[in-house]
Amino acid sequence: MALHTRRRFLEIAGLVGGGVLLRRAWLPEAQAQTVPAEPRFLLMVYFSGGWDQLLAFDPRDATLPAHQYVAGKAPTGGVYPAYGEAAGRNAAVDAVMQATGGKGVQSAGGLTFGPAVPQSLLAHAADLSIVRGMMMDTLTHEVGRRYLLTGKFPRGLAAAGSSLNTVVAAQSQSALELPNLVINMEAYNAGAPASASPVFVRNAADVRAVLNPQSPNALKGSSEAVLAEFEQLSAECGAVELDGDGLATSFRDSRGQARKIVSSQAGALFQFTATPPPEVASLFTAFNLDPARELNSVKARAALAAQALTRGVSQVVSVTLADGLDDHFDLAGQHAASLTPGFHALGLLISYLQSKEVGTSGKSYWDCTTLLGFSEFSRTPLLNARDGRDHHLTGSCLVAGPGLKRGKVYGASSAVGMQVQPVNLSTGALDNAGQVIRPCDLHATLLKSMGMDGSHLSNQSPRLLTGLLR
Amino acid sequence: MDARRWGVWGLALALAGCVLQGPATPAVDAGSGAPGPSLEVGAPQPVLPLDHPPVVDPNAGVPSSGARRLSLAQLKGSLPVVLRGHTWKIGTANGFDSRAATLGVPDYVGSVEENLEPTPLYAKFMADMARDACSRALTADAAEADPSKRAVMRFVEPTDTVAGRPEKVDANLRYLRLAFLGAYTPAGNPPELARLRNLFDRAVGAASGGTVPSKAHLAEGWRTVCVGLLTSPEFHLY
Repeated sequence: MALHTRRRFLEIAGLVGGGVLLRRAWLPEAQAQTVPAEPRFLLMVYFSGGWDQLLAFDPRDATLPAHQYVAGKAPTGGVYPAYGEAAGRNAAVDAVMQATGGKGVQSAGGLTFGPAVPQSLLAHAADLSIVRGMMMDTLTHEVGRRYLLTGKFPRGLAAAGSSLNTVVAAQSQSALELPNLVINMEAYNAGAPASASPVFVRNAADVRAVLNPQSPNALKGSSEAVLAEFEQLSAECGAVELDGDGLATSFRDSRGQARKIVSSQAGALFQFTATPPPEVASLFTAFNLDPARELNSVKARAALAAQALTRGVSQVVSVTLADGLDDHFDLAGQHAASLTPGFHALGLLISYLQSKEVGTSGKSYWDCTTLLGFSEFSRTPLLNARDGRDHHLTGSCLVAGPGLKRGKVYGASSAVGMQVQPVNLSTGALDNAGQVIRPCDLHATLLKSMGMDGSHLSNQSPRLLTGLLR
Repeated sequence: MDARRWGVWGLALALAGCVLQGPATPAVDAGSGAPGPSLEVGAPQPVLPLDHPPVVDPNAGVPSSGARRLSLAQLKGSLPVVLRGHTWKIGTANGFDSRAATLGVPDYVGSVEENLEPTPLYAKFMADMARDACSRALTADAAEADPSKRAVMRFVEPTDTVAGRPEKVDANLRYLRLAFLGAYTPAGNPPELARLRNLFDRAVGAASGGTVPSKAHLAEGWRTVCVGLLTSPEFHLY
């Protein structure tokens, strides 16, 4: 038979085409996902309560007449930065106000920051990007938080899917002890493998409780070995009956992973005590952490996140670095004081990740880490009658990562009233014919930047922020 | 056309058929006769919205709700019943209370629903629970002369071995399966009994190192059985 005939070509083309179509038709989405070849870490940093973006990532020049009260009338720009109202009450803000001639806007790495952002974070500005003018679609704390955690608008108050950290942990197929560590934060698993489920901790003592057996000598070593073999035996009939949905199999898998966790002896890495071991003492030094006073501070949480990432314990870490930002009262005195320590801790965390190399890759942990810094929404651009700020729909967030552009401002809130505005998705510049940025767009973009699949967001119709991607 | 070419064409047509056949949306499930989803308005047969879950044939019997994992509250209530008053402790506190936040018991501020997945974190803390609670129960059993007041060694004496008193060891294992798992063990030597007997015997043998097992070695065997049962899927799922 001739090798190169028209008929032969059609036969082969038909088979190849059929195979391709068959794969598309039959392979479930999850199986079609690709696992990134390079190490990929995710750091989610949450600022709880709704942050004031004027003080942080969407500042305004306080000296402009449009941003000042004139004869008791509200600012014509619909924005009152009120930086001066903190004068004498917040040394950090005072210093920035003095250094900027009263404007309150700091510039670094091509970005602008409000007066609550300390030098320790400004030092990394060139590595960061800011997304501004994002529509949060809610003024309810739980809804906004869960919207940004999952990329899906919640059902009522309930989260509508897995949070980003779980999605990344599941797709990473990480074999680390605690793939998805969550420090003082919410997280969700809706349908991902149990091994990717968030491990919730409040502090280093909780991490030790997870990594160390409670009573190491409760059973003799020989009994543990016999028991481990017993657990490998085929299941009892009862367990087979309970395994209709795979729950018993999932339980056995988790039991095996739990054995691995306690045998790792990684608990020693989290001896956050007044007299820490050397490997923890050096961490404390890097974070300028006083173990006698600051073991429950946000700096200690940041140090915990750093240790988990750089000591090979976690692939994905989520941490709350500011609490109690819901300032409807006396904002000028309190809000910056709550925000600044969180930003400082984040700056120290980034510095620490930069200082540690991933194995012998020649890359630092920071080079391989995708960052999302967020809050559930922002605060109103004008003060309320109690000198506080209420909830505002227009959100901002801080992003960074190996797949994202650096030093980029993507999107903007409007000059008057800090409203949401449509942007050109391929540039991030304002465009009346463009699209409004939403959390699902951000999630899809972050996953794309990490080489991961975002098909779970499909019912939100996400659009990639292509101008943010490298 | 030779046989190989027929085969190639047949396979190609089969593949095309797989692809070209679109997703069917039958108005009626041919198997059960129950109404299925349809876009057809005014169809002669009953229809369901497209996103409606499948309708279960009421004549097919009561469907199972699927297996579920015990909640922390259920575990906290069950363990003292199973172990005759003993429970999991961390220091002086109840272990289920101490680990409640980490294990996702809702605080009704940030969360309103307990995650009942058997996660590795859950399995780890349940391993802690089993080892601690079983040690407490066995320590108390060793000091209790009346078998009826013991939690684990209920139908055996502290000196009974598989070789010496197999019927008593089996009776105790049957009791433990019933008490811990709610599972009746039929007469004879069913595999589920043999597995537990083997676990006990091997743990005792490993502890005694081949010598005549002491009371402590035998207690170690029962402790191992206790932990094995408390960390089995059958204890945690229902």
